[in-house]
This record gives sequence, C-alpha cells and structure tokens, in this order.
Amino acid sequence: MKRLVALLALAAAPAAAQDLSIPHTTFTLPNGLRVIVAEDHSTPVAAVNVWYHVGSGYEKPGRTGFAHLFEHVMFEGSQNVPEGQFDQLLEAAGGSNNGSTNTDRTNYYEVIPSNALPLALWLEADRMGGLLGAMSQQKLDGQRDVVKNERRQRVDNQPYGTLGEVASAALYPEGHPYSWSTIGSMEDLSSASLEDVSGFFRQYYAPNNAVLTVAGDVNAAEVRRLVEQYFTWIPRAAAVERPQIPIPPLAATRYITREDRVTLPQLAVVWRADKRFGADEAPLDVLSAILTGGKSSRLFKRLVYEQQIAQMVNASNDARLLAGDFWVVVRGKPDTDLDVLETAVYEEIQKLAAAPPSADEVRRAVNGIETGFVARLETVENKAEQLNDYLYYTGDAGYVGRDIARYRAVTPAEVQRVARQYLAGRNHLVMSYVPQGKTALAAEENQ
Amino acid sequence: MRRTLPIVAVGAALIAAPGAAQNPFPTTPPTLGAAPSVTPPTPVVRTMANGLKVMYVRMPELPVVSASLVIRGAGTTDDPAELPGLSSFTASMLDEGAAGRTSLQIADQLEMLGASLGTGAAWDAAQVNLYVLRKNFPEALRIFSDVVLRPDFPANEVQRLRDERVTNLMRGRDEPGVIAGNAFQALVFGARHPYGRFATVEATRGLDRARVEAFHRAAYRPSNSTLLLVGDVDPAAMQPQIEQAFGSWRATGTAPAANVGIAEPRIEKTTIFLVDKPGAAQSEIRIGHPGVARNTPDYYALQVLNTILGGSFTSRLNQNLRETHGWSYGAGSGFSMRAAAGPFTARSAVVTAKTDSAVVEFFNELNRIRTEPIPAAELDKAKRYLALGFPQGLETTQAVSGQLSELVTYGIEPAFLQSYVQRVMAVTPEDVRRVANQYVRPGQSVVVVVGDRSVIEAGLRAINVAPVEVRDVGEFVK
Repeated sequence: MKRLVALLALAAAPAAAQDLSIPHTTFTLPNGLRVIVAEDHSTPVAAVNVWYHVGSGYEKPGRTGFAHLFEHVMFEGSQNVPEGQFDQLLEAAGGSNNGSTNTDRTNYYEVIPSNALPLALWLEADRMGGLLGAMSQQKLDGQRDVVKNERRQRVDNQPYGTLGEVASAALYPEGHPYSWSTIGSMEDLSSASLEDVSGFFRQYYAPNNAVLTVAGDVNAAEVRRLVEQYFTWIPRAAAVERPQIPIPPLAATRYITREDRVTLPQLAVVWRADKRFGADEAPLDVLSAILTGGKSSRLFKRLVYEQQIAQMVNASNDARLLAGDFWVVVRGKPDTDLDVLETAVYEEIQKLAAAPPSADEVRRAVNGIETGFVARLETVENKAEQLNDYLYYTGDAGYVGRDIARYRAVTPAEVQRVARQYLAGRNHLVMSYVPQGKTALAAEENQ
Repeated sequence: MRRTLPIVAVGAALIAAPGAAQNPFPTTPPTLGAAPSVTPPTPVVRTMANGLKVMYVRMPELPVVSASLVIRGAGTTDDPAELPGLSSFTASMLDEGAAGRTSLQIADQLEMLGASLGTGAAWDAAQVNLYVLRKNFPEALRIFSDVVLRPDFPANEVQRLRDERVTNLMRGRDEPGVIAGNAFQALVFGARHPYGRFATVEATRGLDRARVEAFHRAAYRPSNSTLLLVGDVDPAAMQPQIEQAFGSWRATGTAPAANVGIAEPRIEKTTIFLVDKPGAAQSEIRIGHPGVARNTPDYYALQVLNTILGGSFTSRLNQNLRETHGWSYGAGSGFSMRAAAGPFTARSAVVTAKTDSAVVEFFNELNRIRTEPIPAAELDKAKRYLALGFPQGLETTQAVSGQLSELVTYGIEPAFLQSYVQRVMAVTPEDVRRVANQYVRPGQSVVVVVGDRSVIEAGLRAINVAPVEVRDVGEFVK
C-alpha cells in the first residue's frame, strides 16, 4: 500500500490537486466515538492518535491552564493501569508517546511497532473509560508541580517568554478563553482541585467528544475489531457545545511596553485576522510568506538583509477555531529604536495594500507550502494528526485535496485584498520588549 | 539486495492473565504478537573518479528526494584554535552567492522549486542538506553543486553574516541554557581541546573572506565526502546527473592536518561551578566529564545504560526529578560520541528553590547505577525500547539520511543497521554494570549550575557534594 494514492497529482497541473488524498476509512461506535483508519505499510510502524475536542478555549476564568494540567494527569494511570505503567508498558513494547494541548483541542498519541497496536488502543481505552477510578490528590499535586516547572521553563525563564500571554490578554476581551495562555497562571494552577478533574473528565473526556485515528502498518478490519472490544463499554456523555463567544473588533490601536532581561529590543505587531479554515486563511498564510518567508521576502530583505537593523523578522498567521491573529515580530540589533522597525512594518503592509504582489512572489510561497504538504505525510503520526485536524476543523477527514487546492488558488489580487481588509490601517496591538532601563527604545504612539 | 531482519525474539512482551480474553474489556494489558520484521536500508554505493562516494536508498512511497552531502574534516573539530566558528561560518556562507548567482537569486530559485537547503557544521563534518520534490530535483541539484563547489563568498555577505553572529553571541547571555552549555564544555575540556572551545565575539570579528575561502579550499574535498540520496531515487537514472553535477570537483588546497591524538583532559575531583543569573526562575544544571568516542566497542552497552539512566521518559533521572519530586519538567543524560571522546552529560532545568536538592538527587542516581545491580525487568525494558523502537528511526527520508550521515561521518559501514537489533538485545547485565563504572564518574565531574546565586549558593555549599566555585558569566559568553 502506498502512503498516498494519486501522488502524481503533485507533479501535475493545479487542476489535478483535488486528486491528492490520504486513503482512509471511518466508522462510529454506538457511544459516539468516531474512528479513522489509514493503512500505510511502508514501515512496520503504527500511530494511535486521539483528539479530545477540548482545549484552553473551553476553560473558565479562575481555572486557566486546566485543560493542559488535565492532559498531564491522563498519563498517571487509570483503572487497570497503575501509576507509571502507562509509560513502562509502552517503552517495553518499543513505543513512544506524548500529548499536547492548545486553545482548541487536546491530543494524545503513541507511535509503536505495529504488533503493539492492541496495547496502545487498550491504554487509550482504559484512560478514556477509567481515569477517575485511579485519580488521587497526590497525582494531581505531582503533575501540578511538573506543569509549574514547564511554565518556568517555557515562559518565566525564557527571554521574551511572556509575549504570548501579554498579547492574549490585550487582544481578547476579559473572560474570553483566548485572553489567557494555554499554560495558565501559577495562581490558577494552584487552585485546581480533584473536583475540577472529575468534572472536566465527565464533561469533555467522553467517547462522543473524541476522535480516534490509527495510521500505519495495520489492518483496518483488525483495528475495528479491537476498537469495538476496547471502547464500546465506555458510556457517552452529554454533547459538548463548541464555545461561541462574540469577539468585538479591537476598539483602538494599543501600545504595550515590557522591560525584560534581554539584550536585543523586540517589536511585535498583531492584528485580528481570519479563523482556521476561514475563507481568508490561505491568502493570509501566503501574505506572511511574502513578508518574511525567504531572503528576498519584503521585510526580511529590507530590515535584515539590506538595512541590517534587525536580527530576525517573522510574520505568522495564527488561525484558530474561534479567531485568528496575524503577527509580525521583529528583533532589532542592539539599541535599535523600535519606532523605526514599526514604521517599516507599516510601510511594507501599505505597499501590499496599494498594489498586488508579483505572481512570482505568490508562486514561491505556494510552492514551499506544497512541499510541506508532502513532507508532513512522511510519518504515520503526522498523517494521523492531519486526519484528526481536518475532521475537527472542516468536518471532513479527507480534506487534504481541497486544502492544497485553496493554496494553489490564491491570486496576487487576493493577497492585496487581505492586506487591506485585515491589516493596513486597522486597529492592532504593538508590543515592545526592551532591555531593562531602556524604555526609550520602545515604539510609541504618534511617532 | 535487502536483508529482512527478524526480531521475533524480542516480541511477545506482555502476557495476559488467563481468562482475560472472555471479558468484554480486559483488565490486564493485551498479549502482543511477534514484533514485525524490519528491513533496514542497504544503500547502493557508487564511487566517482574524484573519490566522491554516492549512496542511494530507495524509499519510493513519496515523490521526494532528501539529499545530504557529508564532508568529513570540515567540522567544528577542524577549526583553528584561534578561530572557533570558522567551519560553521564557512558552511553558512556557502549559499550566500555561488557561480555568479547572488545570495538572493539562490534563495529565490530554491523557493520557486519548493526546495529547502540547509548548511552547517557538526563536530566532525560539514553538511549540506536539500529536501525537494522529485520532479524538481534535477534543477535543485545544479544549485546544490554550485553552492558546494563554486561558492563566491562575497565580501558584503561575509560582513553581514559576521555581524549577525556577533549579535547572536551578545544575546547568548540572555539564555541560561547557552551559558550552561558553554561553561560546561569549557570547564570539562579546557581551551586547549577543540571540544572546550566556543565562538566568541572577538574570534568572530576575525572571520574574513580570506580565511573562509582558504578553509573551503582545504577542507571541502571530494575524497572525504559522501552524497546521500534518499527517497524516490533511481541510481541508474540519477548517477549521470550526479556525475555532471559533481564530477568536476577537485581538491585544490592542502588538506588540513586531522585533529587526532588530542589528549583527553583528566578531572581529578568534582567541583560545582556556580554562574549567577539574577532573578532566574530555574537553575540550569549540567553534570559530567569526558565520555567516549563513537568507535567504542561498548557502543551498545552504553546505549542501554543511558536509556536506563536518562535516555527515556521512564529513565531514572526523569522519574526522580520530574515524577517523584516535581522539581523539573524533565531530566536526562547522554553520551556525545565523536571522533574522540565527547562529553557525558546529565542535565535538567530545576525550580530555583530546589537546586541543591536536585544536585543531591543527580549524584544519588549517578552513584546508584554504578553500585546497585540493575533489576532484570528494567534492563529488559531498556533493550526492548531501543530494539523494538528501531523502525521508527527509519520512517522518513530525512531520518534514514540522518542515520547514514552519522555512520559515514565516523567511517562505519551501513551494515551497522542490519545488526543493530541483535547487538542491543545481546547486551548483558554485566556489560551494563561494567560500562556504568567505566564511563559514569560522579567523583571526577564538572557540575555547572546557572541560576540565581543569591538564592542557591548557600544550599549548594551546605550539601557538601563538592566544593563550590563562583564563576563569572563573562567567562563563558563573550
């Protein structure tokens, strides 16, 4: 079995893009668990990838970081798996595993030699059905400490490490779950209780709020037999509503300055943009590549390559379930006035709003994105993740052909339109991170 | 011809309790069938008239080519003592202008092909890596060979990249991990050993076009190089293209003297070196000493040992510092095996308030693995983890290319991959005990702690693990 049917579509004209596919089958258990199976026998390896449709975007104020803390607790054993055995059993079978949480979803995966498929499925079933039977205060406290250290490592002890949470709080209204970071605050992590764990589990960790994907060197009929045996007994719960919280447009452009233990000043400019798989996600992705995607991208060329007043520049389109943000981050050379970098960012965006980019600029961006589509399919775990991703956001696990097609269809005129519609002259957030005692370098209003 | 490797012997890891199969949901883990056969790649090898070796590994599932040129003798170990960073700077200059194409033209042309090109220097080789769709490989190959064979090293680009590096070095002091890494290698190996040197602002300012050009001329030699082509490749169809692209490559300068026979530094007694990072939320800890060279006959026993000690999630260091005590997000260890003995390093970032306790636990684990017999189940788990997890390292074109480039760098035959599983499974408890005592030496170690001195110094002195010396950050980031 090939990893992809109709791979030649990649070498053919754009019209053939719809042919690109990740062959898979699906079925649903009576308790609502949806299952996707993609056979791929090129390496004797399989991936089991479970998405629970909950992330920090479902959290409530006062319990920030809870979805991620809960993810940690899921590895600490369940009804038939004593503490520590989850990892012990998988390692002894040659498997690796991990999980991750973002605003929109939480995933768990195992990558295993294909004979260990029953073990990975059994472990996932035991914690989906029987986590609470093995929960304890001591397990919660232990993982609370680990997560606090994760926060120290990723945020508190990192130069510019608080940028994400400062931006979230400024971009989203108070109380909106995108207004806090996925890792949460130390205070809220301290407040999380055992009752929170059981309530969260009952509400969100039910089979009807999960999708199980198996990809790799497996037999689809055998996967179905095992899944039916291991997961059917788990009761369904009330359906989970996806959060629908109105997000008003930014009322004004806002400037924030932070002093940090850093050598280089850094500017971040953020606009509201489009949602994940929104109609304008693809042209905004292309726009970000045109700004900073390569050496002759507009902002890189101007600030890093020619003027050499910036050490690095990166634009990114962060599109999520409820909303998207368009970021431009520029790290200046020592003592660079961030007003100068800010002006350059606006000028380059203004140019794109005034005149479309060249066809070649769009083509280069799209070609890189296309190679990325193929590269992602090299591992069975990435393939499983991709199928789960498409199902969650588009309702169609087989979306890959349409996904690549929407990038191929991006025109220079569309890039110009999204530059106008979302960026040029629109309210936004300007954040300056400056070395301690050097607030004079910060970008200021009305400069 | 490929050889299929049976690893049946290590299958059937888990035995279900009798009667479990009758239950709709078993309360014990399922019995597993035999582990699948794995077929490690056997490259097709061609040697060209100029000495360049070409290795093909066919993985036709996806229409991509992962190409890596490994240039031995052009790595960090080959830097002149007074100019650390020259090899890495030379590698990074390769695509900044070549055969008359400017830096921007090279970048634009590669982007138009959807290709990515990376250049860099590892310890014992420079490497140029290309990832591209098969249909665009011939065109990308021309740029690839220009970049390696005919770099122009334009003076303005030398200056731009040099300034970028200087700025990066200056901001190194923002990063506790960078400070800890530099301090550890400097204190373990010393400035007279290539493994103890690190790039500095002063040395970087000394990089110029002449030095780069001379290093390229001397160290980039076809007879020292191997081109790995992995993916949707066909030796018969592609070798003429490779001949055309690389056939004209000739060594012109004098090969640099190989950096062999460097005396391994001896550490007589353990010292804790404390580097102040005021206000740090965590302390970065590094503990270790010179380890072992890649060509060691103890390779497999050391892999098993390190898996138990700090090379897996269930390893002792991670379990102790993360799961049992909750002082860290993760802890681990590793042997960096190079042409000569690279460092053995145990490491973590721990919450500031528990820095001294964490150091004590590190030493408990480093001593325990030497003195106490390793339980059979723990040893068995580590061997299975390595052996049964082996196919995961052969899944992607870049993973296969990465495995082969390491073998090529150290002159190890690709047949290594064929025997890996058996060699790991053959490791005995006595082997692990012996290598633990030989290669883990807590009594002759360097301990580097980068953290908030005002909070952690008294505790580090009070635990009496070793004398504490305070060092200035400016010694290691400069």
